[in-house]
Amino acid sequence: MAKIMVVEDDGIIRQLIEEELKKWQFETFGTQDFQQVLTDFETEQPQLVLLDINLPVFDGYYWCQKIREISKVPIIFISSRNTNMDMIMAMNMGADDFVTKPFEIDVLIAKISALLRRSYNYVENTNEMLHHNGVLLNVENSSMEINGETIDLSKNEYRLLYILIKNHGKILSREKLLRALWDDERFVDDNTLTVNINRLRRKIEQSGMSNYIETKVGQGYIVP
Amino acid sequence: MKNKMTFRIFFKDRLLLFLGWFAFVLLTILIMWLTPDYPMRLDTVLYLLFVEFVLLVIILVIKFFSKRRFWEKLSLAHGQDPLQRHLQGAHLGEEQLYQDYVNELIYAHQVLMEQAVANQEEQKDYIDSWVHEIKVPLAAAQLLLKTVEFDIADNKFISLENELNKINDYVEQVLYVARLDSFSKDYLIQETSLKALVQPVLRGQANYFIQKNIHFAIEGEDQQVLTDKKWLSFIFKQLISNAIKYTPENGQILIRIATNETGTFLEVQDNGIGIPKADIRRIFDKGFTGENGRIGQTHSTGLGLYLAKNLAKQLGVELSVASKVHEGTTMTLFFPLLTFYQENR
Repeated sequence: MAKIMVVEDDGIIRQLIEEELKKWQFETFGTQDFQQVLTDFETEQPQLVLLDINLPVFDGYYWCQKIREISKVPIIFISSRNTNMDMIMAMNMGADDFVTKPFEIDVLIAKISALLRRSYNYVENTNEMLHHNGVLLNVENSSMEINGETIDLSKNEYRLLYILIKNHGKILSREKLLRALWDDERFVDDNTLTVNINRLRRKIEQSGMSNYIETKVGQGYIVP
Repeated sequence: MKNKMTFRIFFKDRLLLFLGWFAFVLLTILIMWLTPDYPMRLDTVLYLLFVEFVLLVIILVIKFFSKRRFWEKLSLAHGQDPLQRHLQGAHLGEEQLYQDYVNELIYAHQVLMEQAVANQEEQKDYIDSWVHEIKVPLAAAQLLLKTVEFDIADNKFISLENELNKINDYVEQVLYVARLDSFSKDYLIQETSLKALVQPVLRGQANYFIQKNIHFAIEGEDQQVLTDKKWLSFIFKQLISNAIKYTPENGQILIRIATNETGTFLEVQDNGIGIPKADIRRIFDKGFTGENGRIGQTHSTGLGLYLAKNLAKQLGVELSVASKVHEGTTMTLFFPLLTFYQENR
């Protein structure tokens, strides 16, 4: 399990990042004392550091340099500064990536995972299979398995099923489903969503499971 | 040349002197004539007139040439900044007076300018830091919102997300306006894939596309252009958000990437309300909102397209528009090839 050090002076952001990281099975350490970031780093020995630029006492660039003097640990800057100058400076100081505020937490998590994979040949121990009510969703090759039968899914279908299963028991509105597809850079409209949901249902039904995805009239869809 | 001293002006200025001189000469002649027993002869009078005139002219010419050097200094023909040029070399008391006055003015002006520049600089720094400060709670709010996504009603979640995005956009705009003149200090020209640039911007506008159920498509092969990613993203975002704003529900927005021997095109085409002919020339003007900007709830500030046009210009990109009322608008970003760019300018 990788340990991640969060050096961020805004309490809410630090807390939310830590909560999310814990959800993804990371260990976290949030800095409280901005006088001794380096000492904390040495005692905690994290596998990755998230670093803000605007900090009390010394700024992020300073700590980045200090950490680089003793370690090659991956560092990601998180800052509201977004000029090219800032990014170039951060990279020159030895940072591995730069995320500007405001940011999507999912994007940050993806960057952290990618960086850890590259740096430590670290394998995510999250289950690569999503399982619910007899449907097994294979995250790696975007297919599903029902009663031992493997069924290929299109990108849209896979993404929809993933969201529905991940949030099973909750009603997902059409807007939310569309939003999830758009987040995945699949820019589809309402009709396409209907078509995809119907195809998905037909595929599941053909394998002998009926009513896997229920329609809540006027509200959306749900996988109970 | 207006501000140049010539003989003509010099003599015109001394018209009173001539009149006075003439009066004196007449007086002399009168006295001579009134003197008893003095033989008045015409040739003596004429001779006197002539000699006195010549003397007067000689004195004035000498005066003209002695002052000419000072006047040359007052001439602005050198193309120098007159506000930087102090006067020197006054000889006469009058010249000294002018010189002191002019130098005093220049000095006062410089002090004022320095103050103004310092104030502006200070204000810009403040805006910069304000933008960064405000982004921290904004980021926190957006993260917080994500954590309650499934706890609150969908429409409220989306509205709240939209409001936060709007705040963020306005904050960004402040930053770009403040940086407009210091643009040169902050750009990084790179090979940039147009599709890779377009996609995150579209994702950011997803809510609006979905709410209005606007059909969207990208046409054409991806192209690489040499430009600054961040600034171009901002420009493109302005175009897309305008297209969404002025396209009715169930409308259509089409992104087209094309290339020919002169360069690469990135088009944003919508089938919205279009721009009236009377307005189309002015849509890139600062503060211009036009007929469309005054419709209902569009909240037009007249700043977006002005910024887009100016930033594009600084990037060497041409932003142009074609539109028909009720049929739609096409905004085109044209990235000229370097060779073409040189040939045509």
